[in-house]
Amino acid sequence: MTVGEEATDLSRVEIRTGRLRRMWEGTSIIFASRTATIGLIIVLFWLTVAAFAPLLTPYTSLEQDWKAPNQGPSSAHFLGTDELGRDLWSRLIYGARIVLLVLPISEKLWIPGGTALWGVFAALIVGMTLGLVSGYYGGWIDEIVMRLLDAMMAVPVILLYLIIMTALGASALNVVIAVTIVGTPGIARLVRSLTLDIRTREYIRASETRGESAWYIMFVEILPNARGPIIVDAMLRVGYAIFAMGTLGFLGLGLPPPSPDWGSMVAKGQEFILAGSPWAALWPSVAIASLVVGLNLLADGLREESMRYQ
Amino acid sequence: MAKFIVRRVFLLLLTMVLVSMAVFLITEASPGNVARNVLGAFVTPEQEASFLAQMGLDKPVYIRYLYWLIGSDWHASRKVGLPLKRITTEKDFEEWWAVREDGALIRWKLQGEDLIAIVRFADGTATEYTNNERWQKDKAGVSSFWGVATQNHVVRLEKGSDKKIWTFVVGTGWMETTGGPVEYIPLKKGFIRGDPGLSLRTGRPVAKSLFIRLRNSMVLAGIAFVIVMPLALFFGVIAGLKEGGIRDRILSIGGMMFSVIPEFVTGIFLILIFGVWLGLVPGATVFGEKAPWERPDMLVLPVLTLTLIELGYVLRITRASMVEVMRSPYIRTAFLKGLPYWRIVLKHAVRNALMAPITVIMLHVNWLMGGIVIVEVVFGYPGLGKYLLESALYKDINALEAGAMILVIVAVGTQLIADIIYTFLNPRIRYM
Repeated sequence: MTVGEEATDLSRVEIRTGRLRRMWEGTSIIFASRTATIGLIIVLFWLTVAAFAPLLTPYTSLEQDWKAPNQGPSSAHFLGTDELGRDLWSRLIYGARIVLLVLPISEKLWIPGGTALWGVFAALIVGMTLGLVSGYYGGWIDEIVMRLLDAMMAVPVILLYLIIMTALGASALNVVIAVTIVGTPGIARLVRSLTLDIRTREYIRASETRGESAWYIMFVEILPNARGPIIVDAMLRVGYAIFAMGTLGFLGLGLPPPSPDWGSMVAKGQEFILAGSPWAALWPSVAIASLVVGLNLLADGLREESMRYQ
Repeated sequence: MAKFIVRRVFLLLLTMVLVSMAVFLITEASPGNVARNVLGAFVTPEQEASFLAQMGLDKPVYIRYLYWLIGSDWHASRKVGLPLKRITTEKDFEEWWAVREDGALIRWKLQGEDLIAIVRFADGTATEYTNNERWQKDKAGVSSFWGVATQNHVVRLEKGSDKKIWTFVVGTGWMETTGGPVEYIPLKKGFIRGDPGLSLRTGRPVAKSLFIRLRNSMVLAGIAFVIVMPLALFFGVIAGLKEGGIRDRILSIGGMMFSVIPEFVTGIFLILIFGVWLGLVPGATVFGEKAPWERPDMLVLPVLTLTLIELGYVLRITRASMVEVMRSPYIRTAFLKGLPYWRIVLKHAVRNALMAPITVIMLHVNWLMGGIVIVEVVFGYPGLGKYLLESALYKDINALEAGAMILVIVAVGTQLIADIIYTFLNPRIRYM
């Protein structure tokens, strides 16, 4: 009896180490590629400063110092100040929070998970469901869903953004909705093509024979086996979402004013470039560029490495 | 093939109808209204109502959509009882007139209790006479009359009406008059008959300002395209020659960086470097009445921004395609035959490698348009994208619809062209 217990214990330990090893192997793919490592470092940098924002600066993102507007970097203000004397470093890292860590739904209510991440997440949910359903069922459902998505993809993205944002008004939640609507067709197509491939495998036949429901097969059998390409695609999409957030903010359609939105910081700062204070436009530009490039390096490196293993 | 093209054109039309309806409905549903945007926040409700009536904005949304799509003159003409005609005057204004039974052009106005008819002659001169016999009495005993008024409206005038109207003249302000028309139908030919209507923001025909904006955008995109294509294809081929080599790494990471950084960020960097610190070229575009090509120095930075973004994208596509070709068996065969390296590259590989990029680039036009909008906003370039953004923010529905339709035509049209080119490049593909 004791022997038997020991055996089960051992196997449990083995399972656990197996899982740990698998996780380690998963992350070691990143470190195997220099591109992915650099990307990861950049992304981790922004995640860290966003998480510890209050500890990293003595100012808040809204605090105005009317005696020192439009200044260059100094000992008091690490990166300088904007036209209202707000500390640029503080605005930058609180801005990173909005992108990566929190979604400000209203002034009181902030939910965890950044605006860009929520956009991609919602697009993933909708896109995956549509892709799975139309790929698995096929037939007229597939035809209708795909034709509708084709029509959506034919509309220029910028036009979609413009119409959606002017209609809904500028707020973080509406940015999420816009990113979702724009991102859905691409994800649905990807998932559909993966589903068409996986649907023919034998384990799907097996679970159909077992009498599993269609939803079980789609979400428990097919989806986990399609995760690789979806994860890489999602990572790229977070980059697009940050791109889109910045662009919307720059056009004045993003988050409403006092919030430290990178895009609108650039738009405001641009007015003062020719007046001799480029800092307010420069730093948020650097921030967006580095974060987007970091995410793309990470995704590119991951894709290259995983293709090598195949 | 013909069937395929017909189907795609049908898809284009369907997309246009759907988008135009969506734009109408969404603009309708969204907060704020155009009257406040044009007139400012300090209008009285009466002034606002009068303005909305004159612009035809008080009508239900489906009627406005119909008027926008197929015009309002046929409907108005039935009310007047005479055919209507649009003419262009010597001063290049567009005017609507009714055609009288004997063929003369006629309009009406109200003077006190009297209905005055204005008749226009071919040389542009006009005479007036009292035309009270056209009043029509209804059952309640009110005399009313449907006719063409001087502001390109078809209006219903009522005898003895003391209705106050306010006319807003851009630059001058309000004109208050009494005894004005009771109902208005603004005259237009409708989008499918080539008249996108008046811009609510400027009061000028959309077609005129849109044409100039479209031309400016085409100049910008055209120059960028001419610079990007050879460069990107060249560098893409170089990078794809040896996958993983040092040239490949530098070119593909550089290309990736330029293509994923938002256009406005690239634009800001370029303005800072070339406009401010080096002071070589202006960091903004101010053309005034001039055409863009008359100030080439101002075009440098917008074109450069677009070039960098597109360069990265096309380069990556070309590289991927080149890498694939270089791996294929027939290239290995060519190497094993002992053909000279450059001959293999130029004669065997490049030809096949350039097929994918050409079609992918056409599909990319959709994104390119987004890039143009941003670049135009960054540099204050008076192009279509900026016009569209301003119209959307202003709820200038006629301008917004016209701009949106152009974007959809360009996007879907280029996709169609890409598909057709592809069948020529790759005869194995047949569209059913």
